[in-house]
Amino acid sequence: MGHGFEKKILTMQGIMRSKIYIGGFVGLLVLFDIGLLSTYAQGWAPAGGRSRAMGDASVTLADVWAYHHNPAANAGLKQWGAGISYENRFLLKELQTQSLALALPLKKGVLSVGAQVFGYTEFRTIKSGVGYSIALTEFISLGTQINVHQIRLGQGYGNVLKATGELGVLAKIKEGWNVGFSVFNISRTLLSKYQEDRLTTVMRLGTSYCFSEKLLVCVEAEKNVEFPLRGKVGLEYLPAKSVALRTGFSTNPIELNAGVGCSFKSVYFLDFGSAYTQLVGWSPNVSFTYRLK
Amino acid sequence: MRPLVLTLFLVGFRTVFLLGQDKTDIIQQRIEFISERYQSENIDLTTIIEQLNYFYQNPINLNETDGSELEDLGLLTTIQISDFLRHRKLFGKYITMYELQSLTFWDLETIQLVRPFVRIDDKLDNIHISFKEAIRQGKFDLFLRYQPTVEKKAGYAKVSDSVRASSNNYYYGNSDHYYTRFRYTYKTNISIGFTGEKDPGEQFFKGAQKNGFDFYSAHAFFKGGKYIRGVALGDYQVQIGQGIGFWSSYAFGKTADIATAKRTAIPLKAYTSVDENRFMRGAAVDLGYKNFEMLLFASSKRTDGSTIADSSYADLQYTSTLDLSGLHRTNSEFKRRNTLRENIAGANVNYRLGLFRIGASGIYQEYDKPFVKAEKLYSQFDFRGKNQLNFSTDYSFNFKNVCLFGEVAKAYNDSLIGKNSGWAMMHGALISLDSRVSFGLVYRDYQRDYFSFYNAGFSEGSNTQNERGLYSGIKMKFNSKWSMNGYVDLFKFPWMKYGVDAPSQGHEFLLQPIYKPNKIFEIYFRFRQQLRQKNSSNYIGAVTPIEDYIQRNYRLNLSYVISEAFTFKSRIEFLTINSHSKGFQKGMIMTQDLMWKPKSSPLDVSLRYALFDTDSYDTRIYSYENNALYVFAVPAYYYKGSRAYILLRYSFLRHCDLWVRYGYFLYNNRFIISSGAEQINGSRKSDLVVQLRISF
Repeated sequence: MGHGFEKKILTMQGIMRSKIYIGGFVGLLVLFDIGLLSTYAQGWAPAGGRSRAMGDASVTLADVWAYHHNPAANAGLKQWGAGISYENRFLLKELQTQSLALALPLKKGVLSVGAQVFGYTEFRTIKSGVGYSIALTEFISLGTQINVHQIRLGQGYGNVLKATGELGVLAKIKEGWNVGFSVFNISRTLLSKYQEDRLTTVMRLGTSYCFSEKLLVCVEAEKNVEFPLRGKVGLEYLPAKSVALRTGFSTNPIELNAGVGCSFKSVYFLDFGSAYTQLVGWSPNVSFTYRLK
Repeated sequence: MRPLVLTLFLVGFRTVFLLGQDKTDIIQQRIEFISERYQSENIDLTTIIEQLNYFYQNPINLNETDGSELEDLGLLTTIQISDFLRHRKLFGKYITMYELQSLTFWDLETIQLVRPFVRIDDKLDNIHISFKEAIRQGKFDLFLRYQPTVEKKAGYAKVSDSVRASSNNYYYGNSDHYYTRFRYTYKTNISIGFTGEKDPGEQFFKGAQKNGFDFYSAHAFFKGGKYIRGVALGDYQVQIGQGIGFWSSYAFGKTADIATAKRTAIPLKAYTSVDENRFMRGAAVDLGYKNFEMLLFASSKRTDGSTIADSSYADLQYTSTLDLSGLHRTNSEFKRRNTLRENIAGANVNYRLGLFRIGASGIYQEYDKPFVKAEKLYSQFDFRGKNQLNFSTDYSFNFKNVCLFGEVAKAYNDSLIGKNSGWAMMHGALISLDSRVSFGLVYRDYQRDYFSFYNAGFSEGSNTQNERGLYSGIKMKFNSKWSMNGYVDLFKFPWMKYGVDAPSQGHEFLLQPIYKPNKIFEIYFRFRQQLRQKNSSNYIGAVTPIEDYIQRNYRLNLSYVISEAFTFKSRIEFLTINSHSKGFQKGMIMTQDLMWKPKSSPLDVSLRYALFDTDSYDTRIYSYENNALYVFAVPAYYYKGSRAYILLRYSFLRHCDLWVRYGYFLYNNRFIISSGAEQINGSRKSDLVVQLRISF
């Protein structure tokens, strides 16, 4: 009996603790007015150490991780590649994200698969989907995706399963200068009728410019339907062929980013990046990518 | 033959003229940077301008310089300098100026910027100075300046002596400002000079100022020996490291140009300005042996401060506050005058190996009366007692396209051992990522209990104390027409500050795209956002909460050289401030400048007309104004009204220049300007400057 009683207390403590967590979570939102948190809670988050280190000004970056940034940007890939990433927002154990991206060039176009898991036992979102991108001419690529989102709340609140549609464009102005555009959740999918709760919609418009083989600069504007416009700048510098130093900056809220990346045999890539905000601190992201040349 | 010679002469003349115009522009840009940094109306930047003027007249020989003169110029980054030196080491002496284009980190703009100040000559300069030559080749400069106060101010009202003697609201002297300066210079090697200044309201040859001017400064300075590299007697300036521990003059701060984040210390300089506190008075010597350099200096001067007599010992006095205004016009100001003696002794040793440099310094500073500051929470870590010891070590190091620099300093205060002995440090990097892109990073951590009187380190606050921050900036040139500058700075103040009753934090960021399609036209846009936390002015309860205070500046600036004689400059600036307790406030100015400088005429004219409209003094906007040489005017425009000025410069008798400037502010719906002794009844505030320079 004593054993059962103990167990009950533990469960209660567990519930209380998670309530405190939820309370803390809501408190954070209210206190600091940080849109990011809830943005990510609603199914969208950039992924990969490279993007994170460059202030997530990644709408034009043409790597495997484009799955999570711009459905069109991976259209130029010639060989298959895959990556996994892990992120921890503000070093809070409840705000962890694991992501996956895979790109498989076909005879025509590129087929991609992606997934992302965010949260902890009491609140978890899972996104998974497939995408297809194609280079129409040398100068323009289009891409689209369909993702399925599962949002699970603990303590008997239940589950919801919804699908969103994504769209992207990548245009080349000249060699080394690209412009990209992407929309996440173009369908503005309804999550729940209660208070017209929808999955968030995000539009990104950005450009990247290669000053030289060593230096890439990205600038981007990101509008989340619920939050103020964010301006983002990212920088990637390659002091040696297999080493990359990156930094970035974004506004609303003000965030500084930095990170390093290294490649082995130009096939395996290990990237680390972190964002820093003054009020809630660090958000590190580490990713491992495999890509054939 | 003769026409050819004439044409050559004319071409030469024209280039010199054009370069001359560039020079004034370069100087003006620098001054604007500084003024924005200090947001202050009266800063004296004579030395910085003098330096550029000197190098204009005596260009640096690129085949001879060890880089230090190029650093003094302040226009090049250390990476560019090391690039330049490496090239000379690898390929030998420079033959033409065009060779500079082959340097990785020098672009055309840099070359144009520096060109007026450098030359290429394979003959070495003669370092030996003979007395005869020094007299014959030396340059004498005499300045006389007169600045009357046009409108009647309340403090100059005619009152009886008894009223004046019992009040602090009336000035003893007249309302004129007098200034005179005499200086002899021989190259950069010798300088002997004298400066005298009387501020408005101070007496002249009577009362408290029986010796004439209220402030005198004199110096004798020598530079250039092999072992005795510099000697200074009288008034001088000392700069060490990155300005964390000791830096007696002003320095660039956060500007749109990231290169200014790094300080380039000139250990010893003559002092020729009129700031009555920020200088050293005494003697200094800079010794050198091979790669070692040692600066020894001692200074003793009187300063102003409020003193309180100790109630238990009649002859003991305490100091409560320092007065750094340098004004001695009223009874209370007389009372504070020269109440303290400040003694400073210091040493700085530097070791330089190529582009690697490391230095260490120790500074002892004491006052003849102890400081007993009121025990306020925000100022409890400030200087107290009589003396203090500061130690610092600094470094700078260039490797390929990376320049690293920094300084670590520690302070010891005798009265509060263990309590008042903090650390301060800063470390930075400037990296040329590409010939068109440079990137800078500065980290600083100044503890709340670190204190130094003379500092100019990279900081958001006014001192290198109580601050932690990370600054990151970038400068990009996309092509020959478009470029962009930007920076972001995150900072924290771990302890309270004046007007901020809690630890606080904030950020600042700036973005400035520049479009310059050709040499004569430039347009730039600047956006700057600053977030700071301040005490709320509207709260209930005993504890003052702090709140966010967001300031945004939007500026559009256009400059256009219409012809060789006409330059046209326009600016629109808009400013907003948002805070919870004060709500939304805004301000704007619109200025139009026109400069007429025909090359054949001895007369130059500068004109400005401006309208301004700000909701409050908080939303004031500072704007640089042209003025007579070595007069610096960056007034704040606030409330609603118009501003206009005219500046004339007339050169005559080959050796003389005369400047006359008249300007006024005309306010709307405002019949009293300022308050207290400075009050003007009326809606107009005018200013007049007359300056004569004789140089031969």
